[in-house]
Amino acid sequence: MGCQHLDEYYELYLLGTVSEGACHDIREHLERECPYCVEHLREAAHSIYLLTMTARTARLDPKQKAQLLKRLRKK
Amino acid sequence: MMTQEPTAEELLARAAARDEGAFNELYDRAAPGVLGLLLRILPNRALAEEVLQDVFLRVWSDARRWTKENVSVAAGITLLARAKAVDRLRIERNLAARATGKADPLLKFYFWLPRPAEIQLLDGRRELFRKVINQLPKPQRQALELAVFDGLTETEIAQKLGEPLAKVRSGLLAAVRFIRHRLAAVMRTWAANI
Repeated sequence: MGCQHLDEYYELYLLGTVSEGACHDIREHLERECPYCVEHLREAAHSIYLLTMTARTARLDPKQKAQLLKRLRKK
Repeated sequence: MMTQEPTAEELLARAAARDEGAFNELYDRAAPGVLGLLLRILPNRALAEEVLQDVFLRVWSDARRWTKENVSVAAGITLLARAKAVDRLRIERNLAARATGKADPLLKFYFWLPRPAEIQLLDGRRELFRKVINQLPKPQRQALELAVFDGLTETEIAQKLGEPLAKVRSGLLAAVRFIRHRLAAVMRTWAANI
């Protein structure tokens, strides 16, 4: 099957907003590295990236980084 | 002589070679933005910090693959963080059955993630993009924000807004079409400016 029926759904797929039907088709196309879907998903990811970047930055707790590095060394 | 600051991708490549200092620097650079996003999605700081650690542990584990695939670190981290936060939110809402580990299938394949040069261009146009979002009709913007930051499905958005599902779906699709169209124009403007 072609991919044109998926055209509208790439952004909503990335957001996890659409029905399982469309998700399943896109996932299947990705499994076989469909060039059309890869290209369109990458473009959709641009929009999702920019949408998420509208959130503000937050101050970090230094204890969190120390804890992260401790966990990382155990890996 | 001034030395140029390493890019996030250079830091990741060094982290892939198990340079903890480089990972440290990458964390300091990227984590404030990621935590801001997680705090917007998740109900409290403790949960957001827990997911933040998960995200960076995953970055450490997958550093080699991301480097090999030439993935934009900013985009990879941001998309991973959002997906993990939404999964966690769904579990917190007692919807564990529906939280089917979306974050992992989504980032199981890296070849579709944006390239560093693409994200560099987009970062230079963030303000313009904010204006684009503000041009959306209010109901579309509201539905889109519920999808992005509350992790709701189209059915849940319809329930929350008390609107028919078909109306919400067509609104979301219209919003996406508008953003795509405007983003293409924004990127053309960028190209014209340089």
